[in-house]
Amino acid sequence: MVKFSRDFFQDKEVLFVGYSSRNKAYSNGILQGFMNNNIKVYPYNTKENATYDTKVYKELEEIPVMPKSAFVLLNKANSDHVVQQLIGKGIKKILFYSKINADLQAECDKAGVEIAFGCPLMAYGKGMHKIHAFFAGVK
Amino acid sequence: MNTFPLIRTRGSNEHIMATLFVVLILYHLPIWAENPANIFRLVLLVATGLAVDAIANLLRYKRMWCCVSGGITAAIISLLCNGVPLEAQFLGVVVALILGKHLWGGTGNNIFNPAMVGVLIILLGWNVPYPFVNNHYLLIPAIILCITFLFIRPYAGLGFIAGAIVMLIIGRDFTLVNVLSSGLFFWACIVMTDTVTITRERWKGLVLGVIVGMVAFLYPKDIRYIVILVLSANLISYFLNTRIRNEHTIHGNLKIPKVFHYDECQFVDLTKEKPNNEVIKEEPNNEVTELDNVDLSSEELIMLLKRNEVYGMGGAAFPTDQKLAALNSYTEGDKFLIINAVECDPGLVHDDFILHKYPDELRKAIEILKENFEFKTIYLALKNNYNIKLGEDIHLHNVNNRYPAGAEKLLIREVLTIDLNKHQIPVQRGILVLNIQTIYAIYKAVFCNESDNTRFITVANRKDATAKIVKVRLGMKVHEVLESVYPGESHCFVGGGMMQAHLGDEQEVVDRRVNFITNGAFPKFKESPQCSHCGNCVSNCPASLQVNKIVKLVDQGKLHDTIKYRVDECIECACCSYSCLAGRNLSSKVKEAKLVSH
Repeated sequence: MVKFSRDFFQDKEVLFVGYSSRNKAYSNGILQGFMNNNIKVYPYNTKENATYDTKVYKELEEIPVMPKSAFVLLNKANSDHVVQQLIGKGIKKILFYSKINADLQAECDKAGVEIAFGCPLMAYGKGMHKIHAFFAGVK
Repeated sequence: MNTFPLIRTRGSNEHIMATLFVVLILYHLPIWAENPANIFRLVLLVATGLAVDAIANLLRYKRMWCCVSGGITAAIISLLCNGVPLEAQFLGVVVALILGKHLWGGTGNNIFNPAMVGVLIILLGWNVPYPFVNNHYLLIPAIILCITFLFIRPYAGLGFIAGAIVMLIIGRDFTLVNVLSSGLFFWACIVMTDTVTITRERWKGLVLGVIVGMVAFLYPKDIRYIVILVLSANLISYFLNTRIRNEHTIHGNLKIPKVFHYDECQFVDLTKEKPNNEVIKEEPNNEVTELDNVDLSSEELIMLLKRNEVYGMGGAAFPTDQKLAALNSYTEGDKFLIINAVECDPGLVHDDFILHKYPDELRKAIEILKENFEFKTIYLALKNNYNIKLGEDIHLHNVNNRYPAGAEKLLIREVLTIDLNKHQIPVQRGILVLNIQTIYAIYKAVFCNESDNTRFITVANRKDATAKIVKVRLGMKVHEVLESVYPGESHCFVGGGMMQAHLGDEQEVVDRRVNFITNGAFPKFKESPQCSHCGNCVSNCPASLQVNKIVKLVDQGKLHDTIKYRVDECIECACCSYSCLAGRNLSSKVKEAKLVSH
């Protein structure tokens, strides 16, 4: 596990797993944060019959070029399931929004996947997010 | 993918709430002048109100939302119940927010004014002195500022003032001191303008206000009557608001200033073999062979347009030959041609460009249409432009600077004063509406026999509020177009205009509906669940839809229930999203419901 920082997404590409199917402002804010920092985002959500504010991929196979980094905005149960797929697709770095269980963490370590925890807006957001970043020690 | 306007109103519910809070602070000045210790009472009450509202919002929405309305409820109770013990005021604030607001579903869902509920509870156990202040002249700043709230819900508030003044005159009590001390403006401008609990209907609201004002001022010394009357007005408003409106009038209300101006714009041609990214300052040249005269029958003209794939360039992309064929079969009366150069979208400038740069070509195309279809009158509809001359027999019609004045049926009503309902197709009534760029495409199809796969679009840089008119080829990638015109941009928004854009996909190409490409950040839709029922979405809807009710049903997942609110008549102009004070992209919700209604 590494400390999350601005350099985490050096590849300038990220797979955004769990983009809100209701286009929640929070999800949208993270998307904008990435985009404002010139990070190409591939939002991903498997939910059917949802309309999005951006192009969202329903299958990992649809993504034209699989990025090496991912941001996972899912609860613990869903994270378990999706991480297996991400490892299988060659993802090398994952930023989790919420904590994951120890087994999954060990699995990521075994697969050589670098993981971190935190909110991307600490690094790429403005205003209050900067204060959050200050207290969390994110640079 | 959802579309959204890239600009929106600067106002928000929070701005209104903050101003209202300032007014209420000013109303407290006479109380504080008598006893400065009352400042702490207000601080404690407001803190309680904010805390209760914040906790309730947190429990309901699982996140923090604005809780200023809780502070306002507390400030109103503090003002009206000045003189009762602090614990009674605390009780009033807590009961007001829980019983008067959050039990109904939170901000925007309550039937009764929460502050009035709180005051009523206090009245049950304590004696509340009235009027609430003695030093009346200190109220003047508050009164002046609170009058501005009449603009939010004018009818009930004005009615209340009228009714109260009538009663004061009848009772021979109409003096400045009485007007100030009775709290007339407080009730009229603050309580009777509450957007959530007072009806927005004009005449019914006015009558309701007059009745409440008159009855309340029969007993001006007793607050109980006023509180009960206001609560009754809230109940009546609730029933009035549940009515399904069936107005079918279409109108354009929204005044949105142009973001870019044609005079300041430059032209870029990206259609050449080796695209010239340099800005061309002089007029673009046509490097095609042009016929001076053509002699075609209407059928031949229609066939020619079909062969050259001329389509509506305004955004609908409807085949022009089909429109003309329908017009050709119309024999029942006079025919009219309306050339749409209104360009009502605040982000577009290319129609103005075409109008100025290609007058001869436009004139020729109009002439051949006129010869074949024998229009009684030809109108050129535009905004604030008196210097264009396309021909003696082309009538200039200056359209009101309102959005979406260029929508087909709105334009017909504006120009010909003919109302067409949703089932009536203009060409079947002898009315042909063509976009100015479509006229230019007709010229190229007829006089140059050219199947035109190019078009003019507006490419804008929202960061420095500049735009360029760009000639593009259909099928070009929108990201590449933006990169050619404004290099180094990662965001790309694309659509029919600034009011109907979406985030451009990397593979997305310029198609027949694309009129606008731009960069810049996402528009700030905070998607607050706290609708204040300001009514902006309804009053600005060109199709007179009850947008707030449609959206509420969509949020509840009852998409099929929206049909009764005529959701299929939505023209997708996004006026509702532009004007929503809660910062919601309402048009995407209405569009979702519209898809189900089909």
